[in-house]
Amino acid sequence: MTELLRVTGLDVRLPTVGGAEVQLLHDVELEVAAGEAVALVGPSGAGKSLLARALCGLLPTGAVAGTVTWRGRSFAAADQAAWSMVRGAGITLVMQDPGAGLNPVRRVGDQIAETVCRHRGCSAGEAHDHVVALLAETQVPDAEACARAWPHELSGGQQQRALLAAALACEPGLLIADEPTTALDPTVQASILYLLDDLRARRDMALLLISHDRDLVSLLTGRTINLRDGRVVEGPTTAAVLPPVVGAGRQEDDDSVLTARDITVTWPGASRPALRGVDVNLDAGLVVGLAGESGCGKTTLARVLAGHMRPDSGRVELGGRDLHALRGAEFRRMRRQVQLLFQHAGAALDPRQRGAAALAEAGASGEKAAALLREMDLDPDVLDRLPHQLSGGQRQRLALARALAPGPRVLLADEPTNALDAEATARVRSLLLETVRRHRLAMVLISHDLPLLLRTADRILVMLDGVIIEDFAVDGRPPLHPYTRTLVSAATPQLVRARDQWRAVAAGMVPRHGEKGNACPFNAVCPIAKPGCTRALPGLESVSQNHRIRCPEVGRPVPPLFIDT
Amino acid sequence: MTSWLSRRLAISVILVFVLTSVVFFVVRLAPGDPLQRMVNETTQPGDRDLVRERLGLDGSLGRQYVDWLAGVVRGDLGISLRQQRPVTAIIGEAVGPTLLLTVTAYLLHLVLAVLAGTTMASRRGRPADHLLQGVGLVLYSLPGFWLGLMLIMFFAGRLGWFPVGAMHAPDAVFMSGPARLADLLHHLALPVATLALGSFMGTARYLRASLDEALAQDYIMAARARGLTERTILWRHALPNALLPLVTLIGLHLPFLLGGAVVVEVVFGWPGMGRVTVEALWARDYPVIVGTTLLSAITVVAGSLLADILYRRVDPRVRPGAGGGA
Amino acid sequence: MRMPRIAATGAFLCLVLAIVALAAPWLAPGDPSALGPAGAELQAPSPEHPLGTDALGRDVLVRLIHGGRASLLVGWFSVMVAVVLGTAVGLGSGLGPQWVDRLLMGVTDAFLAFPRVFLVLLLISVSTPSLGLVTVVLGLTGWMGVARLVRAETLSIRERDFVQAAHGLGLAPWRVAWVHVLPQLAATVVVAATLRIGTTILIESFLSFLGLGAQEPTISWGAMIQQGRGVLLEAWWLTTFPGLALTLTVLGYNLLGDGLRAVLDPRRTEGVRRD
Repeated sequence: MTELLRVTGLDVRLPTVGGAEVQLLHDVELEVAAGEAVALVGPSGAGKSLLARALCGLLPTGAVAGTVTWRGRSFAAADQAAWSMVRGAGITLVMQDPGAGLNPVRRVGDQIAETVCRHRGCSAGEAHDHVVALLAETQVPDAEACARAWPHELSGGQQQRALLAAALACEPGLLIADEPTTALDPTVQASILYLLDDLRARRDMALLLISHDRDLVSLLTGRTINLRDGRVVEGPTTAAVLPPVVGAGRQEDDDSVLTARDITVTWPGASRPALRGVDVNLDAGLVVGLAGESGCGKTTLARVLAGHMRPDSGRVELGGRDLHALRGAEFRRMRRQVQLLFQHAGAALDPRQRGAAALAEAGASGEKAAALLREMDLDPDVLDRLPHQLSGGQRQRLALARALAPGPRVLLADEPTNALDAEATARVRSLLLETVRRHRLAMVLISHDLPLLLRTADRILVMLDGVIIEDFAVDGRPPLHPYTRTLVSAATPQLVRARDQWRAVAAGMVPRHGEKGNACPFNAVCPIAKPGCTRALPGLESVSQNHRIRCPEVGRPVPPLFIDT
Repeated sequence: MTSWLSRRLAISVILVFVLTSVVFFVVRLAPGDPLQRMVNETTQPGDRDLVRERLGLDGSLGRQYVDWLAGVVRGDLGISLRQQRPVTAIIGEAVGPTLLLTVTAYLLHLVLAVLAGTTMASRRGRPADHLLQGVGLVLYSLPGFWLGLMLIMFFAGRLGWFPVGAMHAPDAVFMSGPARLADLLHHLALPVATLALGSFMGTARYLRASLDEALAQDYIMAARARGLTERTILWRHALPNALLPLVTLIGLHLPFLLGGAVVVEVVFGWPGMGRVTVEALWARDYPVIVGTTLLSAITVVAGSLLADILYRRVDPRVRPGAGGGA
Repeated sequence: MRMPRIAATGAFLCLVLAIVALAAPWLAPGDPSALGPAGAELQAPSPEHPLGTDALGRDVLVRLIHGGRASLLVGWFSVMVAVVLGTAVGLGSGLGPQWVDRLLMGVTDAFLAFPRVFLVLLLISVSTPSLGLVTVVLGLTGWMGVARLVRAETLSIRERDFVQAAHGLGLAPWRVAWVHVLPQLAATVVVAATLRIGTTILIESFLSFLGLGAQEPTISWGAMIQQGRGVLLEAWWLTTFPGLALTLTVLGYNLLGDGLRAVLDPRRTEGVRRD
């Protein structure tokens, strides 16, 4: 195959906030051939996004050194003039956060048209048809409407497709996609990746796919470049092996700590409730997993359970008392029993408070604080440090120690493994399980990573559009609801045996909100939907012991579309 | 949209009413008697009371207030104590000159601000940027009235290019139409320059910061990655986004079009609202003081309301009815 | 980085001016308001009188040195009043229940509905003008901007995870406000205060120019400019030098404020984002 891009000796140095310079990429070498799909993987902080930007000449001139050869012509990596010739029609970049990649004050169609005009030299009016064609190519549901829309009116998946369409308008030889699916939900992720592969084949376009998720990209790409600490290194040749999908499935004697009944919450100004009639029961020593895609209400539920937010109706009972009926000092005393571990530990710690002060404020000083630190495997000198002087992992453990200081009975962990690689995820998982065991806590683990929950939780609640769609104990038997099965399949592509099956799953995009009022929120896409599913929201019925499901159609034979786990 | 609007309107009206009433009472507390300027030692006490009655200053404070309120509703703001003319007439004469001055100056201000702001942002870090920033900082730091005096001293005094003050030449009434216009512009130049120069850099810096923020956004980088030119990026992507916050700033400035020229009017002897107010304050001319305050309050409140409405229309994200993708 | 140097320049300027003003009795001994010797009126700058003399034969340089005190005093004290008041209102508004927010912001908006110059003129002319009155009035009319700024900041700080976490630990609201919210406001408040000192000095000078501020024998640069106005074209030194002094002072505070803002504001991070 003809070589398209070759980079040698690429160094990137950037000034840090204090003024000193730090070298972030060291002597990077890579090449990409025409029409090839290459993966660039590495843990967060390795320098992948930086490399992506360097490959488009988007870094300040003084920061880069090295040589770039594009289609046989060589130039210095710092040569801005040369880059302005290569950018766009040669190499183009699609970035991680699709929402931020679109100009909020211009219509989507206009932004794509601009690129079309630049590269084809046509006027804005002539460009319109091209724009619609491009949007159709990226499989946007209604291309005309999308072109007319404002960026904030589109969903994450649609924004990503629009950005792709704009990038394709350049007719690039090489498309660099930086974490194109990380910000998206699992079902949408699959469809975007499939789309990228399709585009590559059809347009004979080279693809450089950047991700921290090795397994996800390995299915698309032939070759993998590993980046670690700014250097290209040899990586593992086999995909990371996940432990088998069998749950913890403990079911000890009833020791109910917290019961929430019929929780309904509507955010002010929202047209639909964020939570509808949700029931939760938490027992000491057991982990309940809360699964679902963004917007389903998991975080809202956590906030209600922790007392941060008052529900419009329903009760949260702790030790027999209604938490939200309390006021003043009594309320403050009670809410200490339910501690919420925020998604970003760095933001959850006051940047001006040293470890000792943070723990003391929570009620643990002296010997008690020392004990907590030991338990979290933290050095005693953490007590004297400010949060920014700790690593991400240390911050997370300090936050956990602080959450344990008031002696809570319930711990709610909100996406604790969100941006972590497999190693770190495993560490966090064992720490949490250990903590639960040692303190006999009732824990709620919120995550969109269903396989993680299947390995960690004793019971899983799957939420969609503000309701619980399935509630089952993790005991080896598979989940039954069509939506839950979609989540499992999309998130663990290595379980997919055939490409065709994956495509079928990918084609089923889940609508962000259910249709009018009372209907099953999955009915628009569900393969076993019946007319009755649009008329009423099914009740949460028991289908067997420890298994409730909100679907009257389950039990009938499921078409071969879905994979048995 | 409309329920929010009517609520704001109601609040605005109440606000104006409360404000003016407060001023009404506060002003009466001032030491100094307006009568002092009109009477002397030889006046009989009986005549004094007569004058007081004529001016409506007899009777309890409450009574005076009610009378005044009734007058406002009719559109009658009372009689000036100093000039013995209706307050509405005095204000009416003064509004024109003030608006002429401030609106012209503001237009100049905006033009200068956009030019300076975009230059600073696009030539970031280079000599032009530093120079403008330095100039801006100095302009922002000098006293407005002193700038006016310096301009008079230099351009009117030393160079004789412009008149030293006032709005018309003494013989303006005898001039023909075009000559009068030229005369007006001639007199307008220095006051407008003083006003605009003294204030435009604030807006320019705001615009620069806004542009900096817009230029740092991901969509700018994405646009660059698609091969668009820097010029296109600055003027078609960054500037529209950067102008949005500017609308609120303009909204903040709008209300002061009526009152903000006090300094310049005093220095140049411009017959506008500011000068009228200052003179009324010195003379304890209550009706005029209250009248100008009322007008000023109405302008400010109306201006902010207008600014709010404008902003909501301009930003597509804030527009009601905008759909909700997650 | 340039910014710390700018802050340093500003700080240096402010310091020098403050020292000169405070040391006035030693730098320029004698009574600056006393009439000068006959025949010394309206003399252009000369080696004997580096900045000239005024209509009463008094040395301009001496008066200039003494005049700085008025500006600095008014600037510092009135801004202190404004900032304390404004922070209290903004904090209460941002953290308290909605009715408190509405009430406080309603009052703030009411005050803001006036052009400040109008309000100040009004309040001052209501009683006998003096520098003390000017200080109080400027303080009472300058807190609104700070209140809005603080309220906006507070509303965003309130949502941050570590503040929520503090509430989750069952800490009393006043404690959360004092320990967690207020320190985050420090940077914004300091910058706002510094920049306001400059504006306040300018307003004070205008008031003195109108005769509504410092009264003789208290010297103020604004009043000096007014005294020179009648002879603007003939005795240019009377209006020019006090104006320059004012500009330098305000420039110093603006530089300091700008520099501080760049240094203290955590959101302003120059440099490209890392991976």
